[in-house]
Amino acid sequence: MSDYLIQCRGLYKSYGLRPALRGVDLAVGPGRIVGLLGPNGSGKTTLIKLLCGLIQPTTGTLAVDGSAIGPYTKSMVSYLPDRMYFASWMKAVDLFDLFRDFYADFEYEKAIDMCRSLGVEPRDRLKAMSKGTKEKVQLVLVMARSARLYLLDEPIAGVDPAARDFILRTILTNYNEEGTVLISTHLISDVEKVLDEAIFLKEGKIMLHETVDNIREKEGKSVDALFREIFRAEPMEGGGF
Amino acid sequence: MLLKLLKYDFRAMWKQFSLIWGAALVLALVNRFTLFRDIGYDIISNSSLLTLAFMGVVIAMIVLSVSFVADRFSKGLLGSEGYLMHTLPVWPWQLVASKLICGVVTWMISGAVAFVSPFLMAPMDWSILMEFGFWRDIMRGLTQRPDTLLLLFEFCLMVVAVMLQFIASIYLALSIGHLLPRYRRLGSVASFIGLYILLVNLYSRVFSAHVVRALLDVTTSNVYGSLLTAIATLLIPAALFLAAVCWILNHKLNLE
Repeated sequence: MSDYLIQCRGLYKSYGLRPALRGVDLAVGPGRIVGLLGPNGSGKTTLIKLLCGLIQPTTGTLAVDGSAIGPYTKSMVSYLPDRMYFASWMKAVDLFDLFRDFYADFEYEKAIDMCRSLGVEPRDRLKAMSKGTKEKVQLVLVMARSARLYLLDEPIAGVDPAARDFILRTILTNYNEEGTVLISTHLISDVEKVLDEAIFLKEGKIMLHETVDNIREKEGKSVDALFREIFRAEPMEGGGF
Repeated sequence: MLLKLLKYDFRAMWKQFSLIWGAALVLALVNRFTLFRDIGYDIISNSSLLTLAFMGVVIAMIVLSVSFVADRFSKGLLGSEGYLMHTLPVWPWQLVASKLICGVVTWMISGAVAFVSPFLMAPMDWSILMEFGFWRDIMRGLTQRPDTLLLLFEFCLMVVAVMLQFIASIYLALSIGHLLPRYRRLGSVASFIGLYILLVNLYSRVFSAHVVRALLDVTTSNVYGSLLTAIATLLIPAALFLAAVCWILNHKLNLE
């Protein structure tokens, strides 16, 4: 077992000629809630997909719990993607069966209970569910695991403020406290209160990796205020950007 | 883990095919009772309609079987569903093997349904099938020459080898298409055609080599050896294609 849950060294990823990550060095320990913060296109999703093994790095090294990405690391990662991954024929209970088969840390009864509390009928066909309900099912799948690393890609994007609180509450009341939660978002003010650490990504590079307490102490401002300062876009004369 | 993946893939297969396999068999049975009674001169008689419906179902079954194999691989491993499958704690070769086995079994069952349906339609006396003597005669015929069963087994293996090579070509073509930044479907179709051109050229070159021809003379001296040689000839490129697919999924997977 490694001291760090996530370790990246000189991580570089490009899509064709367009670089998405440019030499990322990162180390994240266990038992932390970490915000992966940056504007759209800064490389947040790319970093999370690399940690899941959905894409491969162009150069550099990447390890989860000291191991290269493979079946072992995948068994400890609980991933919430930014899209739906369901097959049309499935019901939520089919997915629960699948997760129970593959992940030793998946709690079937907890998933059913979470569905009930979220107002989801687990025996309904996924095809017949609304987008919001499907998102809830995906959240249940992720949070019904006692994973060592939760990778949550934009879990609160595209939903109203009340739903954001609801999603965050679901995450905070269900995650394994010995594990690490990495939440990517650009909605800083909503997640700031729950974060232990913040990572600022800009154009594929890490601008800042610091504990939230240190940021407040050193900078004398909130993470949200610092984020706005670093990522401020200057309007061009004439009103355009 | 492979068995768990197979369970999931077979469930997907059953959801998609149970209806069409059932429809083909039921329509064949219905035709048995209508086809040979209706001898009216109306072109669109009941029996004609039912026969057309049966043929439609069989053709749909064949088309669906081919598209199922391509679809399960492209959507399941290279599309949105890949976000689920590639985050499962399994090796890429297990994902490919599961899809491959499920694809072969689907084709075999579809083939069996297409083979059995005409027999169901034929006005034969089913009580014969229940008689012990009927099956004893068949077994006696099959075992009259001790190598008949072996020949039958080798023939079945060859059919499976043909399926494996075809499915492996589809998988490799889709994987090559996946490497492209855009026009992936077009790239996959072009790759599929290219692979078969390559295969034909490769076969002609390899089989014209003196060493290979000498080997072939030895191995194809009888029908059993010929069948085994044909199976090996089909399986070697299939294995290479599948190895290439696993390599692409391992090193070049790009679920952007």
